[in-house]
Amino acid sequence: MEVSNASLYDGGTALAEACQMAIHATDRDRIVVDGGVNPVYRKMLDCYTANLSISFTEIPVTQGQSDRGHILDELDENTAAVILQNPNFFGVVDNHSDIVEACHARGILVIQSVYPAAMALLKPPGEIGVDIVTGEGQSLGIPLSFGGPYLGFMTTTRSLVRKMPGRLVGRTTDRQGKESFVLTLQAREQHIRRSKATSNICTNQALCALRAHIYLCVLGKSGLRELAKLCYAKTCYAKSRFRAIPGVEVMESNPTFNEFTIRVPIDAGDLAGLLVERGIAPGLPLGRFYPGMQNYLLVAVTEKRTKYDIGTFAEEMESVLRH
Amino acid sequence: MSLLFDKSVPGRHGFRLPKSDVPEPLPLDRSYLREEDAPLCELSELDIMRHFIELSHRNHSIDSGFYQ
Repeated sequence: MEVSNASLYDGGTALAEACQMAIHATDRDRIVVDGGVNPVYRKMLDCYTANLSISFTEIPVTQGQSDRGHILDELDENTAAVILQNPNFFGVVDNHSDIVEACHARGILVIQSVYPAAMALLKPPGEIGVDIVTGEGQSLGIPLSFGGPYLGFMTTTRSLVRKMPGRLVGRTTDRQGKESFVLTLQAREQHIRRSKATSNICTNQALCALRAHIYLCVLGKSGLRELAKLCYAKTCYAKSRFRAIPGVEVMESNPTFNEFTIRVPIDAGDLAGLLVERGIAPGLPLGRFYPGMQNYLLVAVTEKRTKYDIGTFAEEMESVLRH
Repeated sequence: MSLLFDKSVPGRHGFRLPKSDVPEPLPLDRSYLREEDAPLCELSELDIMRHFIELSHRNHSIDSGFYQ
């Protein structure tokens, strides 16, 4: 992508700002949201835009993936943007280039929420023509800290830079011809034309952004790729262990990164409770977000988990389900 | 003061990840994969530490002067 701002609060608020940006850029008022977008983000979109005239249409996923046919059917002349996520909430990896192409043919922008570590391996949104990219930067070396502060990021194309909210830093030269950096294009913000401001967000997570920046420097080009490969390998190993447990089904569609869904023979919330008693936090019961998915559990495996950890997790789950 | 990208040296890195202890998975289909590595800088831990310490010394703050 060509431009990034100096960060936003978190992945959800960054996505909400991207929606407003798309509304301003297209002068349309409808956003189509893929059901694979994090449901917490979708809730935040509703909350953030409750008093704005923006309508959202959510398209349920099919087999954990973006339902292309349904998404394209929903596009009309009032649609400002389509929101996609890669990997999506279920960890499913996708190549959304076909959706991007169809949207652009209708003058519709594409917003993609991405998981930054996965981008070291997966096709980056800039390569497939996405217009606005947002995401949560917590995984870039920011501690969990019981829920925050975290780091939202937002990038876009040069053609949309004047619609972008938040702080922008530009590279220029001073009177002596020395290279310098300045806050730039501030007429977009409330400094000059408050009523026409792109957004009234000024706060950013500079400390968290600095930490993420240092994290990326330390890992570097090859380190981030190795990290992503390690995450992918551990996810595949975990899936192979869960496939072997009687009564457990790993939901298979596209490949997954870090997260994947399993179906268990009992209520996933009850299972999670039993495993917590054994010292294992197994994942997120999906019934909380998706009615009818009471027996589904979203499991996450990152580079932090060892083969032994994953094996113990699988053995404990098998033991709980047997009794 | 030069930028991190000016200091970058191909092949240098500041952290070594642990070796994978799980079997090598089947590779992802190429349609999902990026073609080139992310354009990040390549620096040692010492390069990075010195860069940010130098930057911090250039920062004007209430500890170093008048701050409104």
